[in-house]
Amino acid sequence: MATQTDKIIVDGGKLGGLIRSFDWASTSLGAISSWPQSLVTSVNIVLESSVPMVMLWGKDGVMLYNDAYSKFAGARHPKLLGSKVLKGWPEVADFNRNVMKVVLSGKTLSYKDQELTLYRNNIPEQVWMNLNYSPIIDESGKPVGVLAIVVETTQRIIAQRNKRTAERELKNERSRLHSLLMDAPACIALVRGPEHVFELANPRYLELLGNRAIIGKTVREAIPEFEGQGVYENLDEVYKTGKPFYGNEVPVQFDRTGKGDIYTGYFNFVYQPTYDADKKVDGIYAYGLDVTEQVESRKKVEEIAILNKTITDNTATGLLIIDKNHRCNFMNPAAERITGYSFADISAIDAPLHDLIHNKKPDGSPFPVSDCPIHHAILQQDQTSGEDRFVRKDGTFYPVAYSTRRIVQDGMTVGTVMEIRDLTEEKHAIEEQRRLIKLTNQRNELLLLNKAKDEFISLASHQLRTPATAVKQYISLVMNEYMGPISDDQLQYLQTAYNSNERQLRIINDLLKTAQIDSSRYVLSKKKMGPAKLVECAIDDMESVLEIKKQTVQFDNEAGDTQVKVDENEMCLVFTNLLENASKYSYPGSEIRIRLYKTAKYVHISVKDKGVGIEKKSIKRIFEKFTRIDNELSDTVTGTGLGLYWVKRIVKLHEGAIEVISEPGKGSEFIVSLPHA
Amino acid sequence: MRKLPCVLVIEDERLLQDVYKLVLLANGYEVHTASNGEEGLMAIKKAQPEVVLLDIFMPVMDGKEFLKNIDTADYPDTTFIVFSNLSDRATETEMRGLGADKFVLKSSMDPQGLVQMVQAALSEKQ
Repeated sequence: MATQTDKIIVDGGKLGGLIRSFDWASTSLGAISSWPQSLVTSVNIVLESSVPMVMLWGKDGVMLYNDAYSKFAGARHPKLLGSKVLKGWPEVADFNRNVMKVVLSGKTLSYKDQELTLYRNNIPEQVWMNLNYSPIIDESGKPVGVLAIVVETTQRIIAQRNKRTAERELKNERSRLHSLLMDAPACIALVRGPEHVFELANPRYLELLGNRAIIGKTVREAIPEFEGQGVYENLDEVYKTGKPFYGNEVPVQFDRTGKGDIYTGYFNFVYQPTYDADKKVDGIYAYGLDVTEQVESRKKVEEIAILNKTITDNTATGLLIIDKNHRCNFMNPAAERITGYSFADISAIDAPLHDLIHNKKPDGSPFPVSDCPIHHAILQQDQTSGEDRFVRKDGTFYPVAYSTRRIVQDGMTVGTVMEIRDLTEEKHAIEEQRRLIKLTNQRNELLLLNKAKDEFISLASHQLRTPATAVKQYISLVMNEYMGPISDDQLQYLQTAYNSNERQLRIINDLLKTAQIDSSRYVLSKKKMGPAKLVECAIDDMESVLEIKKQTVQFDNEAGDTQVKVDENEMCLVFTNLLENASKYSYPGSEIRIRLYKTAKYVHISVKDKGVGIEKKSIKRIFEKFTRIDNELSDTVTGTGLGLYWVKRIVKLHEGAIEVISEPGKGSEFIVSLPHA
Repeated sequence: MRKLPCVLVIEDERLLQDVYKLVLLANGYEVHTASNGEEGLMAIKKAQPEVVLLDIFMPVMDGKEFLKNIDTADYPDTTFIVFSNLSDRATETEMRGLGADKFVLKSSMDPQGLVQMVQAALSEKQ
């Protein structure tokens, strides 16, 4: 059976039930059955609303609310139902007192995003709410309660706040990044698009380029001096592939002042691609660190190190560094050369340096390290020096000049630098120099002597020739019948005398020629010519002799128009000499063959006779001075023994060669080979 | 009337001077003799010879000095034959440099050779 209460209170969800079952009689409202219509109506409105609503009834503000409000009230529900508002929400009592006062006077109140601190769940909670308060008017027209619509906006506010904080942080971050960019000690620029248009460049970057205007320009327009340095190409590559490019200590040339002076700097840099929303490369961050100073100072250090190494590697002085334990921890190549030890040898042996290079006394007896004054001095005295005999790795001694200088660091002796010079070499050098001076003097003396000899020979032959010339003239005068007719017998005797005189002249000539060719001052006057002319000249010279002996010459020129570079007079005499020998050592009526032919490098002239030939044992000696060979014609042949010696010398002076092929009884062949002109 | 071709013999060795003179005279030359360079300088002016036979080693003034003391260009019609028993190339080069036209080894010439040499010199000048 429905009660009155059931009738007047709508269902109202959970709160509807709670309100109906609440003991209102113990409150100022009294039992529901006694509620005025205005109260019942208001309760129904509240219960039927889906927005959080609360009603504060009477001057005590007794609270009645709906399900939505109960959620808002948190742990305060359900105690809150039927309680007085000031007691129900003690933490905001002041606020509610004011609400009660104002609204019960018939006015409305409205708050948007009102901030309050509530203890809904026994902990302070900052909440925001939109609050609308309006008076409930009773049947008599007087305000009897307050109807409140409570919409909590905390979540929105917090979201808004968070958003603002995030925005502020973002802004701060941006500004931090910007100042980072602008104040960075690195050069930073952002280029966009495939043409790399400058969108941004930090002051450092601009300063480096003489503060020229680059923004909005392509890299190629803005920094034309990069042409040929690979910069454009690297940017193109990064843009194309999306792969960052890293450069380390890359030399870059650019105009730093804007006046055309090209400066070279060294940079570590990164080209980092940037991407658009579609993840496509749309630009490149160029980040460069000027490391010029570091690179240059390092280069200087390296240069000095190289210089030091060059000096120590190339000095003739041996340098050793000895540590405080007397172990050698450095040797230059000169020290290795002098001691005979490689640094590897010395490092492998754990012994004081003395035991390696100074371990024997000059008499060969052992030299204990404890007795060595040098060993003791080098780490105790700032400097020592002297001369001594050290021992090479192979055990041999060498005289040495040494000097040492102690290395002190922070007041502590850490080792010694030792310089050694092998005096053997110096002594050798001095001896060598003395020898050289002596040789030079001897040579000069010899040159003077040689000159004197040449002059003597020249004069002597002149003096010897003069009386023989007179003899020749006077005998000829008679022979030629300037003094009247002579008999055949007389002519024959005179001819013998004439021939003997001629032989004397010939000997003088040969001696003189030999002396001249042995002299260092002998000079040829060479010219290019056909070798056939030399042969023809010799045949002409020998014509009368050949005629007397009824000998014939067969000349075959198989060399065509090849040329040689020779002294014509001397070389003609060479062939005259050879032809004369061929004639002398052949029997009357025999044939002599001269053949001219060529090979790749040489022209060969062969003079071949069918004469007595030369014994094998004699062949070796025929080009020596004063050699006369015994054979069956020797007695009838006159000669000085100088002809072939002179021939060979002349041929040699022409970078040529002469050889002889001979068989006793069959004949000889002399072959002169001369280089092609 | 055509003058006989004239030869000046500058030769200190009397034996040789005599024989040259004898042979050349016998072969139809006018012959002047001088015993050293100094005499030669006087004789060449007087005789204006077609051929000069000039020895090198001579007392007072030798053949080199003789050539140094005259300008052979002043004697365009004269052939200067250095006729000596010195045969080294350095001397030949030096004498040619001083204006000698020919350099002949004295010991290589018998009287006939001498006459042929003088004749050749004359015909070359013509």
